[in-house]
Amino acid sequence: MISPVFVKTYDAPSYDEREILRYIGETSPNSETVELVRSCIAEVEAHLSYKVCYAVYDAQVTPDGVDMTFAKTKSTSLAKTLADSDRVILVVASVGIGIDRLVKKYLSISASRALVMQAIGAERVESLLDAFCIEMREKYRGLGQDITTRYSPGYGDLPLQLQREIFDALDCPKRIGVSLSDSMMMTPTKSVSAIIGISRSICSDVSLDKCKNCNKDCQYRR
Amino acid sequence: MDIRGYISNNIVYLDGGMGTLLQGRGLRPGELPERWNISHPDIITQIHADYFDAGSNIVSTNTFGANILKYDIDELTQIVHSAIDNARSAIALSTSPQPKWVALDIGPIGRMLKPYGEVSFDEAVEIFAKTVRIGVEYGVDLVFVETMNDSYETKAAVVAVKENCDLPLFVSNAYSDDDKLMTGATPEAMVAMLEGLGVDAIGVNCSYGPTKTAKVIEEYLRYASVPVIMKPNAGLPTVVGGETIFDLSAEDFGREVARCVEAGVRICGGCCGTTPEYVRRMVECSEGIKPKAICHKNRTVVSSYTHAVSLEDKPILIGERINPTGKPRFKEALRNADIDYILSEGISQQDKGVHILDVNVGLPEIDEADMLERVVSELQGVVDLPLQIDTSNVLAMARALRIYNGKAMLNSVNGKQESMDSIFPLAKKYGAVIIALTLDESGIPATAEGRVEIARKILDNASRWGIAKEDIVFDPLAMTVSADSGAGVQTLRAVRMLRDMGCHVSLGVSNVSFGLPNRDLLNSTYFTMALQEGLSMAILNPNSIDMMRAYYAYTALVGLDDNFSRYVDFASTLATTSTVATKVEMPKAKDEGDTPLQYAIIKGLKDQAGSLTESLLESVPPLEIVNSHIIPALDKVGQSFEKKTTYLPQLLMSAEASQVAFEKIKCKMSGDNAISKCTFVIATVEGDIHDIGKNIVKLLLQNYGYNVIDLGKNVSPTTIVDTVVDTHAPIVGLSALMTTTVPSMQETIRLLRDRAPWCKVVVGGAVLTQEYADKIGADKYAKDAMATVRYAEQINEG
Repeated sequence: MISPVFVKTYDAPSYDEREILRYIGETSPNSETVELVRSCIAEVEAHLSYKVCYAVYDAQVTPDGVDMTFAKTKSTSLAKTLADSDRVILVVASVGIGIDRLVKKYLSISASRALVMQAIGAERVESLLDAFCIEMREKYRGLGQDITTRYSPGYGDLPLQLQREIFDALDCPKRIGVSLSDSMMMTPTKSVSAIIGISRSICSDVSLDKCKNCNKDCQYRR
Repeated sequence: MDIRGYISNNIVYLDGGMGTLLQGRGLRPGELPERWNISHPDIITQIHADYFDAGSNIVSTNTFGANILKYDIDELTQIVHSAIDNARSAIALSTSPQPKWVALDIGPIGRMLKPYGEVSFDEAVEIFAKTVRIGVEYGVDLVFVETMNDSYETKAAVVAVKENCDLPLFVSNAYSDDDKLMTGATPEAMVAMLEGLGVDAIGVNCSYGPTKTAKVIEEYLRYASVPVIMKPNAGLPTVVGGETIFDLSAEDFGREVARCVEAGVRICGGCCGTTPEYVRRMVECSEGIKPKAICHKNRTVVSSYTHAVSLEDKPILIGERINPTGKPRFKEALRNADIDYILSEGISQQDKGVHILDVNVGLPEIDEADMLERVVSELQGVVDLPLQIDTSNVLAMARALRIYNGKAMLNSVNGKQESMDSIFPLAKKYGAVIIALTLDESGIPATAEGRVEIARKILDNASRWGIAKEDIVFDPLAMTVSADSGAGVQTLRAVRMLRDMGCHVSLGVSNVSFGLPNRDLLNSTYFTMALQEGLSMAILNPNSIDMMRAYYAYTALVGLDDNFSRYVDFASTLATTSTVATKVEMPKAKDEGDTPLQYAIIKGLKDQAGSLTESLLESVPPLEIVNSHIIPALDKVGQSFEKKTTYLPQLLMSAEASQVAFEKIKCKMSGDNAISKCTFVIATVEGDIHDIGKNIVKLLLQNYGYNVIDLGKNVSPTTIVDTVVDTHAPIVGLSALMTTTVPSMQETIRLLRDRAPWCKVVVGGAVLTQEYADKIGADKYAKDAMATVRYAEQINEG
């Protein structure tokens, strides 16, 4: 099945201050930093937009990996995630160029503000994708199906090069203004691409929290 | 028949969707539709012919994504040729009687331009130009640039078309649901830029269905003096029974578009989801409508990449601070290419309420064209105000105007023939509002009449270049009253006379008070008098409270300030600035015997650090302040960061506070580099566009007194090595965020070893590890900014 590419705009998800502090690397925040974060949040909202574009493709786990119609990959880690899925949602989410402009502005006048702005951007785009996933989960659970955790190029053995095929399939520059460079980087920088499996039945034990499904010891672990 | 002539009397019909029709005929996801021109010419020809039969006057070739990034030059040529052949065959095939033309279709290249992406403006122009040249040489009737959602990329496409042909050019943009382009431009800003560039017709395509698009169309009709295009989608896509359909029927689509034609849209068609049936309905619904006359709007307007500033509503302020004249610190920044300093001058003027920024970076010892281009590009990364390009160097003006994102102001032309002959062609090519000084070969006339005479001559010459009166703003020149007590009155008379001629007028008033005490008082009074004579805009220093007072008071008193909101805002800042200026609360030395300045730095209190440094400078030598106050404070914060009792935000806040202290010291020492340590070259490597980490390292290094040369992001190995060789820097820092750019870091190191064997290389960035650093041959892996500082200290001492 080939679905059209859908474009959706969301309202601002609520801000997760703890998550922002975690991105800054502040494990026991002091009052000055918290104040800084709050003042940045107050400034940033007018500069954000919350957009996703997505499409649904048939997918099949094969002996050499996964065939997702728009692309094939040999990634075994993705194959594992998609073991119970027969379709995937391919999604790119972005909070727009405004946050990049703010970060750039503050890089010339206040590095601490730039740092916080960029952490807010990271939190924003993840929260946006969370909102998208929750919506999809509700939709598919309503149909007696479910969704898997989201999986992005660069996770496990899923190559970054898959970005090229994702961008060709979704036509992101046109749909939501996200473009891909030769080195596979997205602009606006606060953008995320992901593959989400649609599984045949409801699986209550899958969490949408990526950290729970990963056993790496990393500094950003929640 | 000539298209331009036809448009002036008729509604012009474009075609409808192509992509959705091709998918219906078997185009697979990810397959490039342009290849079907060659593999399935019959299908493409038939679709074009169906559109002609449905009533389209113009079909666009199936070349939306045909560019050199996607195809090599041979395939690109073959695709464009076949696409044009297919469209031409469709004309032959179609039996309907209306006039028919073929447009070369140009879509976006799908890359973000600098300063946010990695493609430069000129590279983008060249990418478009390749497709344009192939199409134009093979033969098309017009060029249609469409679905552009970024103003800068749109400009690149337009420049590419204009530089390679004289064919009619239509440009249409895709808007987001906030009625702006994806990168922020309003319809008014796009109209200003595109009309400035001499585009024949402008408008909107894709985006949404006709009803939602109508709001943006309304804006176009309000501001545009050229025909307006509308080419919306068939509503929104939905899936029904596994099939994609759009939610608007052909009939509804036709009716909605016809409504906009009645409102003044001159050129219409359909985009995603529309078919020949949609075009047929659209033609049926709108055929009988008499085309609404297109009137010239006579607006004086400039734009940035987000918004337009027009001279219709209220007097406009131009900030004059980005200018080295009489500013040693600014000159030093220019000589050291300290772009951040220049940017901060722009940002602070925006915060003070100016509407346009003047940009002058002329200094005899630097390459002005290079610097102006760079500063304009960087400023447009951080400030969304329109810019006024201020230079007497025509080459610099041309380059800055070319890469400017929007419609700029130019400062300036004058009545000398040589000036007009060199400036007007540039303004004509790129579009600009030009400041015209009323002087000529014989100097500045003493009387208002003499200056108006020159103004007439300038208008005459401008019109010969096809530059309209509204794109000229006259500056009748404020003269020094202490040299001639009648001079003030003559300039005011000239303001009034020029306004009565229907021209806009600007002044830089501060010259009037030269040689007299309390100049601000005279300047601001004179400013009010000029405003009363009808002054349209003024170039001024927004830090002058008196000038800003005069401005806000005037606009409030003559009814140009709705609900007095601007005046009230301004008045409230007056109350706070006067108290802050007189009374910055001084911190007391609290912990562990820190001096007050040390405490201010440790706590990251910028204002206090600045004031404390100023008062220390009255009695303590600058170097001693650095060595006994600033450096110990920084070290203390640095150590607690290393011990993980302080985190990055505090480290940076302290660094910023000490930077304020350093600025005060620098002003005192005026260019003396006694506190400088060795040169440190820093860059984010090629292919990588992330620079926050690199900038944090730079800030800390500057704090510790290093002469940091920041080459920016996405920097080629050759540029980095050339700089190291030129400056003989003993240390270079390279940053990379992603695995894909580590090879370019490795290449940089290889080249450095070859050409600059003395230079130590420290690497850092999210993706790097000690193991990686060893593998690519770096001297040092630094896990954070402080680790880089410590390593630099070793090299500097060693």
